[in-house]
Amino acid sequence: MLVLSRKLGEKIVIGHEITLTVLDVRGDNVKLGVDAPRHVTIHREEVYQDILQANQQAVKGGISSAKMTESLHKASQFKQQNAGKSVKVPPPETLL
Amino acid sequence: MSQSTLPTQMQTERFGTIDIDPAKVLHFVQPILGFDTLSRFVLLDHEDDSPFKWLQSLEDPELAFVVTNPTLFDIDYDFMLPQEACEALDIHEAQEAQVLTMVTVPEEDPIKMTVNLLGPLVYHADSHQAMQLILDPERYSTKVRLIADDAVAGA
Repeated sequence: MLVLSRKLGEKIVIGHEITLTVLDVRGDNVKLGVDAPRHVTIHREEVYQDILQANQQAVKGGISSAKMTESLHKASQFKQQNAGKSVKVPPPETLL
Repeated sequence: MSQSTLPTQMQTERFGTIDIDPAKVLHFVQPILGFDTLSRFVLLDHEDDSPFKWLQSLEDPELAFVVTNPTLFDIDYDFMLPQEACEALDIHEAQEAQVLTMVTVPEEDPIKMTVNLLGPLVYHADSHQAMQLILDPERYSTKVRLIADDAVAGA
Protein backbone atom coordinates (compact mmCIF):
# COMPACT_ATOMS: atom_id res chain seq x y z
CA MET A 1 0.00 0.00 0.00
CA LEU A 2 1.34 3.43 -0.87
CA VAL A 3 0.99 5.77 2.12
CA LEU A 4 0.85 9.52 1.59
CA SER A 5 0.12 12.28 4.08
CA ARG A 6 -2.10 15.12 2.93
CA LYS A 7 -3.31 18.29 4.56
CA LEU A 8 -6.75 19.78 4.20
CA GLY A 9 -7.27 20.88 0.61
CA GLU A 10 -4.41 18.82 -0.80
CA LYS A 11 -4.88 16.21 -3.48
CA ILE A 12 -3.69 12.84 -4.76
CA VAL A 13 -3.65 11.89 -8.45
CA ILE A 14 -4.30 8.22 -9.28
CA GLY A 15 -3.39 7.09 -12.78
CA HIS A 16 -4.08 9.91 -15.21
CA GLU A 17 -7.78 10.45 -14.64
CA ILE A 18 -8.60 10.18 -10.94
CA THR A 19 -8.01 12.91 -8.35
CA LEU A 20 -8.71 12.59 -4.65
CA THR A 21 -9.10 15.79 -2.61
CA VAL A 22 -9.15 16.10 1.20
CA LEU A 23 -12.16 18.37 1.62
CA ASP A 24 -12.66 18.42 5.35
CA VAL A 25 -11.10 16.94 8.47
CA ARG A 26 -13.02 16.88 11.75
CA GLY A 27 -11.73 14.64 14.52
CA ASP A 28 -11.48 11.16 12.98
CA ASN A 29 -13.91 11.98 10.20
CA VAL A 30 -12.34 12.80 6.83
CA LYS A 31 -14.35 14.09 3.90
CA LEU A 32 -12.84 13.09 0.56
CA GLY A 33 -13.82 14.30 -2.89
CA VAL A 34 -13.18 12.09 -5.93
CA ASP A 35 -12.91 13.37 -9.48
CA ALA A 36 -13.02 10.51 -11.95
CA PRO A 37 -14.27 9.79 -15.48
CA ARG A 38 -17.94 8.85 -15.69
CA HIS A 39 -17.33 5.15 -16.33
CA VAL A 40 -15.37 4.70 -13.10
CA THR A 41 -17.39 3.39 -10.17
CA ILE A 42 -16.68 4.74 -6.69
CA HIS A 43 -18.04 3.16 -3.54
CA ARG A 44 -17.50 2.90 0.20
CA GLU A 45 -15.35 -0.16 0.78
CA GLU A 46 -17.72 -1.86 3.21
CA VAL A 47 -20.52 -1.82 0.62
CA TYR A 48 -18.15 -3.25 -1.99
CA GLN A 49 -17.17 -6.02 0.45
CA ASP A 50 -20.80 -6.72 1.28
CA ILE A 51 -21.56 -7.47 -2.37
CA LEU A 52 -18.33 -9.37 -2.93
CA GLN A 53 -19.17 -11.66 -0.02
CA ALA A 54 -22.75 -12.06 -1.17
CA ASN A 55 -21.43 -13.16 -4.58
CA GLN A 56 -19.14 -15.72 -2.97
CA GLN A 57 -21.98 -17.01 -0.79
CA ALA A 58 -24.12 -17.45 -3.86
CA VAL A 59 -21.70 -19.94 -5.41
CA LYS A 60 -20.46 -21.64 -2.28
CA GLY A 61 -20.74 -25.38 -2.62
CA GLY A 62 -22.66 -27.53 -0.20
CA ILE A 63 -25.97 -28.02 -1.91
CA SER A 64 -26.02 -30.99 -4.26
CA SER A 65 -27.04 -30.62 -7.90
CA ALA A 66 -30.11 -32.76 -7.35
CA LYS A 67 -31.22 -30.83 -4.29
CA MET A 68 -30.62 -27.54 -6.12
CA THR A 69 -32.75 -28.63 -9.06
CA GLU A 70 -35.50 -29.78 -6.72
CA SER A 71 -35.35 -26.54 -4.71
CA LEU A 72 -35.55 -24.31 -7.77
CA HIS A 73 -38.41 -26.38 -9.12
CA LYS A 74 -40.30 -26.02 -5.86
CA ALA A 75 -39.59 -22.28 -5.72
CA SER A 76 -40.81 -21.84 -9.29
CA GLN A 77 -44.31 -22.66 -8.11
CA PHE A 78 -44.30 -19.36 -6.22
CA LYS A 79 -43.81 -17.33 -9.37
CA GLN A 80 -46.52 -14.70 -9.28
CA GLN A 81 -46.63 -12.76 -12.47
CA ASN A 82 -44.88 -11.61 -15.58
CA ALA A 83 -41.71 -9.59 -15.15
CA GLY A 84 -42.00 -5.92 -14.32
CA LYS A 85 -39.57 -3.28 -15.48
CA SER A 86 -36.93 -2.59 -12.85
CA VAL A 87 -34.55 -0.21 -14.53
CA LYS A 88 -35.04 3.47 -15.16
CA VAL A 89 -32.49 5.44 -17.12
CA PRO A 90 -31.58 9.07 -16.33
CA PRO A 91 -32.90 11.48 -18.97
CA PRO A 92 -30.35 12.45 -21.67
CA GLU A 93 -29.88 16.03 -20.41
CA THR A 94 -28.20 14.70 -17.30
CA LEU A 95 -25.75 12.54 -19.22
CA LEU A 96 -23.53 15.39 -20.32
CA MET B 1 -11.95 -14.27 -25.82
CA SER B 2 -13.33 -12.39 -28.83
CA GLN B 3 -16.65 -13.12 -30.48
CA SER B 4 -14.94 -15.10 -33.21
CA THR B 5 -13.27 -17.44 -30.75
CA LEU B 6 -16.36 -18.30 -28.71
CA PRO B 7 -16.50 -22.06 -28.32
CA THR B 8 -19.65 -23.77 -29.60
CA GLN B 9 -19.65 -26.22 -26.73
CA MET B 10 -18.10 -26.56 -23.33
CA GLN B 11 -17.75 -29.09 -20.59
CA THR B 12 -19.25 -27.85 -17.34
CA GLU B 13 -19.32 -29.31 -13.87
CA ARG B 14 -23.04 -28.86 -13.30
CA PHE B 15 -24.53 -29.39 -16.74
CA GLY B 16 -22.06 -31.69 -18.47
CA THR B 17 -21.49 -30.70 -22.08
CA ILE B 18 -23.49 -27.65 -23.10
CA ASP B 19 -24.03 -25.95 -26.45
CA ILE B 20 -23.11 -22.28 -26.33
CA ASP B 21 -25.59 -20.00 -28.07
CA PRO B 22 -23.69 -16.78 -28.88
CA ALA B 23 -26.98 -14.91 -28.49
CA LYS B 24 -27.01 -15.90 -24.82
CA VAL B 25 -23.43 -14.91 -23.99
CA LEU B 26 -22.90 -11.94 -21.69
CA HIS B 27 -19.65 -10.01 -21.77
CA PHE B 28 -18.83 -8.40 -18.43
CA VAL B 29 -17.02 -5.17 -19.26
CA GLN B 30 -16.61 -4.73 -15.51
CA PRO B 31 -16.24 -7.91 -13.50
CA ILE B 32 -18.64 -9.52 -11.09
CA LEU B 33 -17.17 -8.45 -7.73
CA GLY B 34 -14.70 -11.00 -6.46
CA PHE B 35 -14.40 -12.66 -9.88
CA ASP B 36 -12.02 -10.25 -11.58
CA THR B 37 -10.55 -12.71 -14.06
CA LEU B 38 -13.86 -13.82 -15.55
CA SER B 39 -15.68 -11.88 -18.23
CA ARG B 40 -17.69 -14.30 -20.41
CA PHE B 41 -20.81 -16.03 -19.16
CA VAL B 42 -23.64 -17.81 -20.91
CA LEU B 43 -27.27 -17.60 -19.73
CA LEU B 44 -28.85 -21.03 -19.53
CA ASP B 45 -32.50 -21.76 -18.87
CA HIS B 46 -33.10 -23.81 -15.75
CA GLU B 47 -36.26 -25.50 -17.01
CA ASP B 48 -38.96 -24.50 -19.47
CA ASP B 49 -41.05 -21.70 -18.01
CA SER B 50 -38.80 -21.45 -14.98
CA PRO B 51 -38.22 -18.00 -13.47
CA PHE B 52 -34.64 -19.10 -12.81
CA LYS B 53 -31.66 -19.11 -15.12
CA TRP B 54 -28.05 -20.10 -14.70
CA LEU B 55 -25.18 -17.79 -15.45
CA GLN B 56 -22.42 -20.22 -16.40
CA SER B 57 -18.84 -19.00 -16.70
CA LEU B 58 -17.22 -19.80 -20.05
CA GLU B 59 -13.81 -19.50 -18.44
CA ASP B 60 -14.38 -21.54 -15.26
CA PRO B 61 -16.39 -24.71 -15.89
CA GLU B 62 -17.15 -25.07 -12.17
CA LEU B 63 -18.66 -21.63 -11.73
CA ALA B 64 -22.35 -20.94 -12.26
CA PHE B 65 -24.70 -18.50 -10.53
CA VAL B 66 -28.45 -18.92 -10.17
CA VAL B 67 -30.14 -15.73 -11.32
CA THR B 68 -33.69 -14.47 -11.55
CA ASN B 69 -35.79 -11.38 -12.13
CA PRO B 70 -37.20 -10.67 -8.65
CA THR B 71 -40.33 -8.96 -10.01
CA LEU B 72 -41.46 -12.44 -11.11
CA PHE B 73 -41.95 -13.17 -7.41
CA ASP B 74 -43.91 -10.01 -6.81
CA ILE B 75 -40.95 -8.23 -5.27
CA ASP B 76 -41.21 -4.50 -5.79
CA TYR B 77 -37.86 -3.62 -7.34
CA ASP B 78 -36.88 -0.57 -9.28
CA PHE B 79 -33.85 1.69 -9.48
CA MET B 80 -32.27 4.40 -11.56
CA LEU B 81 -29.33 3.13 -13.60
CA PRO B 82 -26.23 4.93 -12.27
CA GLN B 83 -24.35 7.20 -14.70
CA GLU B 84 -21.29 4.95 -14.63
CA ALA B 85 -23.41 2.05 -15.86
CA CYS B 86 -25.06 4.06 -18.63
CA GLU B 87 -21.58 5.03 -19.74
CA ALA B 88 -19.94 1.62 -19.33
CA LEU B 89 -22.76 -0.30 -21.04
CA ASP B 90 -23.78 2.42 -23.54
CA ILE B 91 -27.38 2.30 -22.31
CA HIS B 92 -29.50 5.35 -23.08
CA GLU B 93 -33.03 3.99 -22.88
CA ALA B 94 -34.75 1.83 -20.30
CA GLN B 95 -35.69 -0.87 -22.80
CA GLU B 96 -32.01 -1.46 -23.56
CA ALA B 97 -31.38 -2.52 -19.96
CA GLN B 98 -31.95 -6.06 -18.72
CA VAL B 99 -31.67 -6.96 -15.04
CA LEU B 100 -30.88 -10.19 -13.25
CA THR B 101 -30.29 -10.69 -9.56
CA MET B 102 -28.20 -13.42 -7.97
CA VAL B 103 -29.96 -16.06 -5.93
CA THR B 104 -28.39 -17.58 -2.83
CA VAL B 105 -29.90 -20.94 -1.87
CA PRO B 106 -29.20 -21.94 1.76
CA GLU B 107 -28.37 -25.62 2.00
CA GLU B 108 -30.18 -26.20 5.27
CA ASP B 109 -33.51 -24.69 4.12
CA PRO B 110 -33.54 -24.02 0.37
CA ILE B 111 -37.03 -22.48 0.27
CA LYS B 112 -35.59 -19.57 2.26
CA MET B 113 -33.52 -18.56 -0.78
CA THR B 114 -32.61 -14.88 -1.10
CA VAL B 115 -31.85 -12.45 -3.88
CA ASN B 116 -29.20 -9.73 -3.92
CA LEU B 117 -30.97 -6.48 -4.70
CA LEU B 118 -28.01 -4.28 -3.75
CA GLY B 119 -25.76 -5.69 -6.47
CA PRO B 120 -27.89 -6.48 -9.53
CA LEU B 121 -26.41 -7.63 -12.82
CA VAL B 122 -27.35 -5.38 -15.71
CA TYR B 123 -26.72 -5.97 -19.39
CA HIS B 124 -27.47 -4.27 -22.68
CA ALA B 125 -30.28 -6.12 -24.46
CA ASP B 126 -28.49 -5.91 -27.84
CA SER B 127 -24.75 -5.78 -27.24
CA HIS B 128 -24.91 -8.04 -24.15
CA GLN B 129 -22.26 -5.97 -22.43
CA ALA B 130 -22.78 -6.49 -18.72
CA MET B 131 -21.70 -5.38 -15.26
CA GLN B 132 -22.64 -5.73 -11.62
CA LEU B 133 -24.03 -2.53 -10.12
CA ILE B 134 -23.70 -1.32 -6.55
CA LEU B 135 -26.86 0.51 -5.53
CA ASP B 136 -27.65 2.50 -2.37
CA PRO B 137 -27.19 0.33 0.75
CA GLU B 138 -29.74 2.49 2.59
CA ARG B 139 -32.41 1.33 0.16
CA TYR B 140 -31.40 -2.17 -0.95
CA SER B 141 -30.16 -5.34 0.67
CA THR B 142 -28.02 -8.25 -0.46
CA LYS B 143 -30.38 -10.74 1.16
CA VAL B 144 -34.04 -10.39 0.35
CA ARG B 145 -36.26 -13.44 0.72
CA LEU B 146 -37.62 -14.54 -2.62
CA ILE B 147 -40.59 -16.32 -1.07
CA ALA B 148 -42.16 -14.99 2.12
CA ASP B 149 -42.67 -17.31 5.09
CA ASP B 150 -46.45 -16.97 4.99
CA ALA B 151 -46.44 -17.91 1.31
CA VAL B 152 -44.42 -21.02 2.12
CA ALA B 153 -46.79 -21.92 4.95
CA GLY B 154 -49.84 -21.46 2.75
CA ALA B 155 -48.49 -23.63 -0.07
